[in-house]
Amino acid sequence: MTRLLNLLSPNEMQIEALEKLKQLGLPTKKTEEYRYFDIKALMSKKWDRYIGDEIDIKDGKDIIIQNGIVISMPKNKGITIEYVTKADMDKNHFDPLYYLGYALSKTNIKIHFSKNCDVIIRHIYSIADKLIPYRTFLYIDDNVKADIVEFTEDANADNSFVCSGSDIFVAKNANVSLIKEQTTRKNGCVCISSDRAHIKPNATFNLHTFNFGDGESLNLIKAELQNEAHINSYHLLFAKENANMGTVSKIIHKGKNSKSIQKSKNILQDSAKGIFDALIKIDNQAPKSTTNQNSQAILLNDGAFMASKPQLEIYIDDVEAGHGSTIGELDAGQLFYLRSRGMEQNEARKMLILAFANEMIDLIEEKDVKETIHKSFDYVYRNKPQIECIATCHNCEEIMLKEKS
Amino acid sequence: MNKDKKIVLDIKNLYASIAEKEILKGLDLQIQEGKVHVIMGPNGAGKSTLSKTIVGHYDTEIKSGDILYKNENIVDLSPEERALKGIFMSFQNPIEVPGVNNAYFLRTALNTKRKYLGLSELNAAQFLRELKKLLKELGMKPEMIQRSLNQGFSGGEKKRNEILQMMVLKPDFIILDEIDSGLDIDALRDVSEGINKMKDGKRSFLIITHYSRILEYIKPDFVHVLKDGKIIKTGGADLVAQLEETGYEALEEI
Repeated sequence: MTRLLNLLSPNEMQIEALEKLKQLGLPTKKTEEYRYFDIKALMSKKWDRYIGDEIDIKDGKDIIIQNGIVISMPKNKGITIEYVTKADMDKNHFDPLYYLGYALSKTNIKIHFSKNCDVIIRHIYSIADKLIPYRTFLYIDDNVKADIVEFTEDANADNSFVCSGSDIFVAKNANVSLIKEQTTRKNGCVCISSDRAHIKPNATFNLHTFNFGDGESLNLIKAELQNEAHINSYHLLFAKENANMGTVSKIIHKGKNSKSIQKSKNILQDSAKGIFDALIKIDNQAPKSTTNQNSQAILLNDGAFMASKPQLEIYIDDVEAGHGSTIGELDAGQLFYLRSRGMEQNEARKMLILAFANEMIDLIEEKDVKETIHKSFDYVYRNKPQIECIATCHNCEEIMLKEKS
Repeated sequence: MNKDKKIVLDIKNLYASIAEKEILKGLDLQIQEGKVHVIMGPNGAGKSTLSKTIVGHYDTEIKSGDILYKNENIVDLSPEERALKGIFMSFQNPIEVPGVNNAYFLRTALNTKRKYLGLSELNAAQFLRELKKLLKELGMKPEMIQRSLNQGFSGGEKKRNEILQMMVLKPDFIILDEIDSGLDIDALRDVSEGINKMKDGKRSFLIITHYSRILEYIKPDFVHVLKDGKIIKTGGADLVAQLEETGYEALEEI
């Protein structure tokens, strides 16, 4: 990896990132944020960096970013996209790979939301055996409501390493929903996404992350809340076989009356390892802030492993805070209830696991997105490409119930 | 009991424990086909343990004895096998299952049973049309089936939902474990009407209750008194009045 950092003619941002990276050092097995993630293998591999050439951006329904290059975007939605070599990089991010991404990215994608909109961003990886670095900036203007969904597609990017992430600037009174769905596969690409959210006064940021599969992925998130700002941070993980995935986050309350809710649900099957290592810090300039943090994990096998570490750091008295963590098996009473109605034990277990996941998926308001996430989960969990609609949506019921007798 | 009648459930000398504590101590009970049996008894007598033992609840452990259902010993069968053979228990405290859509659960349960019986499965539309009629009969709001199974339901709603499941699954032998507890008069009437509609001369019922008020709506054929892990007295509907008057203490062991 160090070989890659000898950059020829780095730009200003890369120089700054390299300096920060030098201070933090490349992550090792002993780096706290990567304690439970197999970073050593990733860092010790001899990588070839992939930097694509910018092309003309086509008009399309979704924003499509393939191997770090923007392919298409919807016009007339109040969204602008440009490549930038200067932007507001965080000076104090905890994650070395946040800076590694900047150091290795030649250009960065700036996406600007100037009016209310909803958009899907599809990240497609299609190159094998490469390190694919790129970063995005999402700027959401004052009073704008933006619903952003990010889907990640591994299109034969076998054994690649995607070092990406976003800097998200949520301006005053803005309301942003960011849904990130990622299914990684064994021997596919390893995805490490290092994000940072800057949430201005009276703004709301709803973050939903969904990580499924039998591959490797890690979300690292730093969020800062100013006065009256809110963050709702929800994470659902389903890992199987030898998967290793999770969330490492730091949410920092920097302003008064700021609110945070963080919930994590994790389902670990086979020999999978899950991570929820999350700190919520309330600074002394954030009185009357409230926070609640909770992590639940279900281990489906003896070999499954969950590292759950919810943490609170509070530097002022006048706050409301709570956190908790549970790791266990399926509820015996619920399992019996379903079996007592004739369901075979394995089917009952599946239904309960689906239910556990549904609680997080059903928090999504937009029906189509919700269904897509349900299908992604089901595809990984039950190896079925399509879920029966009645399990999750209420469309059929609504139609049937409205019919005249 | 009339020996000519067909026995659907025959419990012989049953000893069962919960957490190593012996609760049922040589219990004998016969349930006739098409009849309504009632079990009454003081707190701690073993009424709920009996119902749990019949359906194979994981809390209970059978030490000895047999439970013959339609002449087959079911003590080693799984809960789902017992259910598919036609045994249904309405839970005293129905379990909440967040995230499992009520309609999805009902349809899965019904289709599992239909598959077991060699019938074709119902699709969502066919099922929901049938379900809608039952909801109306039970005085249940249609939204109830769109919610998570029993989650946030009131006590009465949970009991109605149990009866809805019973009506959907059409079991042959129905155990109603304190179905009347926590119900107001209207709910008790609706639930009782639902139960009465299920009576077809073939289906058998075992009603476990502390109170006689449900028996004003559902007329029992046999009343059994369970005390200290055994049936100590069996009689007709008139035994209820006697119990009301004298209490359980006055009954002498047979």
